[in-house]
Amino acid sequence: MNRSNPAQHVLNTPELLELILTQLDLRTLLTSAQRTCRTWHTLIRTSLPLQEALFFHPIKSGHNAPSHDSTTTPTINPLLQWAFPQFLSQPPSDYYPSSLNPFDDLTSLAHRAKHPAYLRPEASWRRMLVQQPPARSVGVLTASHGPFGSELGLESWVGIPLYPLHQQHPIYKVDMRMNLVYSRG
Amino acid sequence: MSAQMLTFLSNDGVEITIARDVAERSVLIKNMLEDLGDTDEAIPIPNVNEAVLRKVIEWCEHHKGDPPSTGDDDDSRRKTTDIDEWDQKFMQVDQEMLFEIILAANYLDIKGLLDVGCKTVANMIKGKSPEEIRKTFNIQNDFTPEEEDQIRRENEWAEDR
Repeated sequence: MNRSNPAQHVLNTPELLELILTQLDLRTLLTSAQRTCRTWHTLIRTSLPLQEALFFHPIKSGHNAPSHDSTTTPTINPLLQWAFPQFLSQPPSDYYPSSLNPFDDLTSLAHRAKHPAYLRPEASWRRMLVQQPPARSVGVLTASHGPFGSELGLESWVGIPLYPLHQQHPIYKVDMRMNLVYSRG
Repeated sequence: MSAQMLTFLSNDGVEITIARDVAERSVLIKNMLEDLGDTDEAIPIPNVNEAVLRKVIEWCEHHKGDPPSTGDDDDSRRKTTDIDEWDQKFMQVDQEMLFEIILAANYLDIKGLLDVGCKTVANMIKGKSPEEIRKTFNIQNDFTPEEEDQIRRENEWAEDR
């Protein structure tokens, strides 16, 4: 055991670095930890627990889920909720969205300056799952305004497509990612 | 009935005697004792020095009444990064000791202590910029400027500054 520098020893042991990074908040893990050095970046990109924590890799329902809510409600991605507050809020029963465009949120001052950062094709929010465990289907709400008032209805319940990827692979399920939500919006 | 006492030998040659139920917070020692049976001899702990071993024992003494870890992965996935007050005080040590405790907890297989140690380090990272993280832990930035910029561009939307 390297007695001279225990910090380097811990941080150079992938299992221990993974345990530490698993305890981080989503934002620091995504924006700062990944940029610290190559070792950290590679670990974050390849570790299953960290990819699950970042909402990039789906948690299997029930099995791998956090113990306290494995049987109950899924966790909404807090970073997406922060970035698209209007779009990903929990609607009350009489919810009437004032807009169905998630980027209307960006008109708020806090977000406006970062508009280009959002619109980049490589922006990582596009790859993020909206919730863990991921949603397998999505309801489409329509709102119409006519001379006899307004109507809000559930237009359809869209299953998220299942792709058989390759003969040798099991059926691969596509989970709801933010880009899909955005492109349907 | 008095508790069974066991003697351990740190890697710098110091004997420390503690109660068996405290020592058994370490899964490594617990398994070792099961294999070894009763022993009067000092059990060597080759990877841990006296100062760190005393610190680890202090933690085990305080937590000896805790329910044993179930061993499955669920515990480590708890969302909470809260550290209880006693543990927070316990972890107010210099950086070298903090990482020594993590290494010892990992070697001795004391899950609760390993968790607290990792959470403490995570709290030192939280909210810091990449440059601040490197400075804190003396990490070399080995990205090319282009590589780092690429990662920054992917995630800039999530920055809160």
